[in-house]
Amino acid sequence: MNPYTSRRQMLSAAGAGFGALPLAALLAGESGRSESPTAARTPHRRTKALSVIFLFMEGGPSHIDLFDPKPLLRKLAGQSLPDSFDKPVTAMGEVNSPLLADQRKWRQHGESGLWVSDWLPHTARCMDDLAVIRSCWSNGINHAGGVCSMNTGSPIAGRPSLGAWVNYGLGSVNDNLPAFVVMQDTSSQVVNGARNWGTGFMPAVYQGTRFNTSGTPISNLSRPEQEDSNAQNRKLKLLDTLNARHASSRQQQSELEARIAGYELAFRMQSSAPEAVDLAAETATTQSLYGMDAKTTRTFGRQCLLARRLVERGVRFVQLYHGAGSKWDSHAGIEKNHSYLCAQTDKCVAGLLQDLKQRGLLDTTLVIWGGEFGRTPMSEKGDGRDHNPTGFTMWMAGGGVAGGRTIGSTDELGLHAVEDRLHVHDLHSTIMWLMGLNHREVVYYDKGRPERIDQNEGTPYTKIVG
Amino acid sequence: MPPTSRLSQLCPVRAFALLLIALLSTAFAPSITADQPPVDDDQHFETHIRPLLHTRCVRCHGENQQKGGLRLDTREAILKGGDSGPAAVPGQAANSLLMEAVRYESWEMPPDGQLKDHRIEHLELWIASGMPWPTHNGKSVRLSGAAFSEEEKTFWSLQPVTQYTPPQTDSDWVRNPIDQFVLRRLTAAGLEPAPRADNRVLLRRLHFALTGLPPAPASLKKAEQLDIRATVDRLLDDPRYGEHWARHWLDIVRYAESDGFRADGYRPHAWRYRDYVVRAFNDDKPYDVFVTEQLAGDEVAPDRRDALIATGFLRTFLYEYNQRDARTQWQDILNQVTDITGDAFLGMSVSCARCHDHKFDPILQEDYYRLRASFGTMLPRDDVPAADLAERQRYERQLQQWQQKAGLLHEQLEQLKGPYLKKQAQAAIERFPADVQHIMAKANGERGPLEQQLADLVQRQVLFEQDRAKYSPADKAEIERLEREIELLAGRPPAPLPPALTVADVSAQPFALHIGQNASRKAVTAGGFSILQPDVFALQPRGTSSGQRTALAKWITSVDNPLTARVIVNRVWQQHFGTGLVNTASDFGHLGGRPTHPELLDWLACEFMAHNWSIKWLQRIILNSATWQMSAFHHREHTVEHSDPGNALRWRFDIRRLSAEQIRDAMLVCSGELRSEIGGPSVAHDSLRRSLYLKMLRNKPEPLLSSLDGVDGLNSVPQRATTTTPTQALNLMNGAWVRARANAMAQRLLEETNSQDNVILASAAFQLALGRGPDSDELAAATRLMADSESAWEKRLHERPFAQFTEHTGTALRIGEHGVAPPATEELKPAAPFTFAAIFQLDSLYPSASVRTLVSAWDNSKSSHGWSIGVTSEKSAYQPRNLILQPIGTGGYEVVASNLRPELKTPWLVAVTVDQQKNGGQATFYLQPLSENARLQTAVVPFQSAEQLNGKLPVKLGGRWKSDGHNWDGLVDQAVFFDRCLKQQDVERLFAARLSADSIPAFDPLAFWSFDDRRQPGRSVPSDHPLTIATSVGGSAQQSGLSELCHVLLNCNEFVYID
Repeated sequence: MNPYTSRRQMLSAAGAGFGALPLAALLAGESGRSESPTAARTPHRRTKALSVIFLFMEGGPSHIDLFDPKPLLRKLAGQSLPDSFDKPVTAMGEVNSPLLADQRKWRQHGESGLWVSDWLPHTARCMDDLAVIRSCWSNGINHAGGVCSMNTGSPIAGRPSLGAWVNYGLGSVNDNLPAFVVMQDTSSQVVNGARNWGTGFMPAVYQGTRFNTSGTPISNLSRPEQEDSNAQNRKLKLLDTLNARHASSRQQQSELEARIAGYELAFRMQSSAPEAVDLAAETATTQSLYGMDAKTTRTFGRQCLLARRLVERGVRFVQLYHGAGSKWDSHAGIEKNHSYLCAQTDKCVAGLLQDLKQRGLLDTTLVIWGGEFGRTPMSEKGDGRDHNPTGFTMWMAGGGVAGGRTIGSTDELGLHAVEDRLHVHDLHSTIMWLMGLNHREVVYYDKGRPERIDQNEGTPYTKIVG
Repeated sequence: MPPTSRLSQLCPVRAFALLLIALLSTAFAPSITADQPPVDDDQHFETHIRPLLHTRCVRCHGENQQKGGLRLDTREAILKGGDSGPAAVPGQAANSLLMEAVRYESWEMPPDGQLKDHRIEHLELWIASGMPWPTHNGKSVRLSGAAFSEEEKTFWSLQPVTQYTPPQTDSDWVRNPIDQFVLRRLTAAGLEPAPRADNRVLLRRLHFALTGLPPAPASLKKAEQLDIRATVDRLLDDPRYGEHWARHWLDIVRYAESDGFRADGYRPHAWRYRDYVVRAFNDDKPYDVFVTEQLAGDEVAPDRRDALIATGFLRTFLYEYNQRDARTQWQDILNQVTDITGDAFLGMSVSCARCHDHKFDPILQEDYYRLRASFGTMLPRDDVPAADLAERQRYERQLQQWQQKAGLLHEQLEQLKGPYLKKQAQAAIERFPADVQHIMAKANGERGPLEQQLADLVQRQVLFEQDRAKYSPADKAEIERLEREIELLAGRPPAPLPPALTVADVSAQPFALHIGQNASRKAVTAGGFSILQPDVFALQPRGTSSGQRTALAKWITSVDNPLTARVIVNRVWQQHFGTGLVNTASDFGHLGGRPTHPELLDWLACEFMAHNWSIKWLQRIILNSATWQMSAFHHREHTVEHSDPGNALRWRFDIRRLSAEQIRDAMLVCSGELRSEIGGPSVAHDSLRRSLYLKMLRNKPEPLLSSLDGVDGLNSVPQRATTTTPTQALNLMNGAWVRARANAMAQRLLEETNSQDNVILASAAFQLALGRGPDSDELAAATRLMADSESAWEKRLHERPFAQFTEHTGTALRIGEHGVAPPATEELKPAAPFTFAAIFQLDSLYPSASVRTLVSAWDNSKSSHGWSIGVTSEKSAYQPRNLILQPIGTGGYEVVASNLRPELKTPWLVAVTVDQQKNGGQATFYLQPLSENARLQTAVVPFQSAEQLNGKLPVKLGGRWKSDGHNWDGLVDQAVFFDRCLKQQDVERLFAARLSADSIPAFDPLAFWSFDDRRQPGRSVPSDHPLTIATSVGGSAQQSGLSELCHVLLNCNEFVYID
């Protein structure tokens, strides 16, 4: 394709005027969007994907024990990293510790024959739907920087999260639910807390909303116990009267109307949000597909099922944190740690993929699995592994992604990504692209800087669609 | 306009096909998808051409050298060419010398190795396509170099500030020169200013503008005699002025009190910088001094406490306590400091120039590194006391004296700790990369400046590990013994002075920094923007300081710097009008706005500097202008809106939402709860102090402020956003904090009006919240709400969870699932000896081992003192349905089982006496069915320790503190405490009287609760220890109605917006 003719030039040359096209101008933010900032917008590109479910395995799952087998690691176990490998800066300084062999049984699965270890027997059955990206890399060597990078593209806090960018670019198609929902499996704080789904320098309208997975889904959603059942209606009625009188003589300030509408939306959520998280309508078969009938998988299974219900209702971006509070972090005893965490998630994730597929939702839902980094081939404390941001695995499925494929590779020990290296910026650009957005055109101006999700460094890996 | 394409000549069929696909895909033709991302000229240039020219060409053909007379850093320069003629001809790659050169056909360029084939292809494609050079708003973006164009040199914000004379006018609307400038533009546009706002509106506007708080209702009553000039003066002298304005500056410097990474470590001393900013505004510190102290307080006034604290500006960077990549972390810190300096003082986003020359503004990458070099010798210091020199010296002397006295013992202590500390240090250092370990192996004096800075980062982790050293029991004992001996000998060491978060220089030598930290690029020393001042700073080292930061401050605060005064004047204007004269307060570059009133901006900047950079002067001139005093309403609004919808010409005042802090603080003013203390350490989020003083944690922002667009301390925020989110509405309507303010406001109104007339109360509520009384419609709506609320309250009163014992007259309280949450007292903490008696009925047991707690004063933790009386459940090790006491005294936790087994769903009389004796404690249990003539069962059970059974927590009925898993389920009535152990005959007498209210007072109770008075169910006799019954309707019907009205008022648009 000729890079010297932008699409817009082409179109104007061809005399084709489209209502949908000047999105870049709209998104640039300067030309006074008259619509609501979260109104649904047409993507740049026709795509299948409408929603994202990002399964964030927090703490850093080990790629070399799950998706990226390394025979050489077994051969060199106990030795130091050969000099032929670049020595990275590691979080705990384990760069010279002996290499640790994996203890897994590896097999190829599906028609595609993708490799998965015996830690993920259920995911193994879905391999034909997965694009396993073995060549991811990032900059954060610690959890804070890593989780921040995976969410915002920078190890240093202050930039908008991926969900916020997608929300900014595409808007919401459900007025009664937030467009960006976050859930977590434990009550521990996700590393860095709420700024992982924050908006950095963008306005707060694009931020993620934390959903509790039982009880009241959103903080302050339900009527305070102390109030009688009509108190809210009474108050809203008077509020509406006062606000309407106030606004009628101040039509120059459109924010006043927006604020009135904000209250209406909030109270529509009072019925729509609990309905969305009410699993009573889900059959026992469905619940068991997600592992909700077993203690180990009940919690995450429930969240995966909730994620499906939310995307069904038009929620744009759902992020599930498993192992909230760095539980996947296995500096010591990786066998015990990963056995348990894989058992907690494997069936639920596979159930989600199968359920989405059988309902025809997998085409429109991009599912992403991964952590903030992988783990080193070098051991730590004898039986654990340190953080490895220089090479790790993530997978994507659905939303137009061509499954049953491995993308990129790491070196022979899984330390550095070597082939088709995809930096977090590239991953973000790819996700935006799969969602139909040209990430370069989704621009937010902050203090004179035209800001983009990738800080102008990412390239979408478009071959991911096959 | 470059020709669109030459690709068709190269590959016509494919080009056409792609064009077609692109066209169709954008039209969303159903059967075709475009799998290539749209690529355009700019992107190709940015991805392939700019890096190529930049890295391989312009070193010899650019700013520093022009070999062969050729420059390759602008499109114009390439077209112009060098000694051999034009370097390239647009559209004709084959005829371009540049292509010959890179193909090594004539010249062999670059000489240090031929370009890879695909790079040559990109270059060819680019020339063939007409050499498109990205533009923004019609201007070519910069590639590099200091060859500033005329246009750049004449860019408005870089021109010297000019002294303009305010335009003459004979209008009597004009109050000061601001109005003369504004009126001229209005008149020229055929517009007239809106009338002056009425005094009531102005008074409210003024108070919010200067103190951030609403005016007191009393002053509103006198609004008609408003003397603006005097009020402005008075409010500028109010200490709350500094609190309000400090917030804006803290937004800009992205002040926070935590590290911002995983641990988000709290910075307990950061608040001193916040207080410094408050003082600076209150004292009207000249802005040039304010800037200088923040950048170089340690250099210009090392003896002064405030100047040291001011450098806290340089300490707002994010910091990761366990980052082993010390080099990257240090670079990040310097980048952050450089970026914030550009944003805050110069209103220029310099960070674009970190990786390349600024694309739109004449800021070179070199300039970025010149600015950064100013901080090149800086070292963050946490060990300098926040004190004047004299005080520091006094402390040093005391410390020395103490150390002398402690002498040998102190040395012994150090020796004992030595190996441990060394081991911890070693463990910390070993986690760093080899090169950093190497630095740590060097002696202090051998380290270069950068090495010292890196070593300091490592040392922070060393100290962290050393604080966690684990001594052997023997050594620990010895350390404690030595410390005791030292204290006997020399007394306690002098109390350390509070530390400042400050900086110092590691070297008096200026720091040279390679551009882009690339050793092959030019090394630069501290300097300003080349376009303003080509020369680097002349430095005057002071002692161990390089003086670089002082020089930077001097350049920034020079009256010749065209940015500094304009930027701050514009910031203040923005805060008063909602938008600045330049609508992008931190961007005075090409992508930013242009001043709507350039002459006014310059006039203000000039006068501001002439008035000794006085912010208060600026406040006065703005607030006393007719422009600021305009009404938000214009009689020709609809016509004028058509010609100037954005109000750029200032024909009316813009209606604006208050900031998060203003809203929260105003709620506290209305509820009468706002605390008046100024300054000091930050406080918890539920505090009733001004929002400025709430802890600012980067990972845990306060939710209410956050929902109202408060700042997170991560980004510099020159202007607050105004958004409307469901979270905001939910927080304001359902959040406990706001509801508590509404309740307090209602309580206050009831007390202050001393009235029960809803009309009077509603009017007072409007007055308090909105600064005006309600009109008749509003009053009717408000009183209707109150009446409805009152009747709902009455109805609930009778639905409340009260029940009757069949055998007992009067009502009992139902606690548990079908009743209220366990109610509690505030202060009652009985210790042995005491007696508790009551009538109870238990309806169920837990299926687990949890205890149905009848009464307790305990937080359910075996390590906390307290006690609990209850009945065991199904899986109890003491059998189910066993009446037990759980005492937790100095001897620890015990279970004292009575083996008395009350039947479920049956009312019982119970009494338990808890005694403390010489060798332990003794509990006596009395249990008797409430039915007539039933037998009294008793059990006396000794236990280990009854000492100090009263912990920190007061009595809770039907449950425990900090636990929701040990609650009562059933009825409780006639509950009573005595501060002694009743004798059996007393218990029998009380039981015989069914614990009636008449029988109790004779026994002198500590506290007695019956629940017959439904309006005051928690009342106690004597009245010292009322129970707070959480889920009941509290207060009175009237208070409930008034609270609801107050809550609505605190939510309404008129409360959060000002005209």
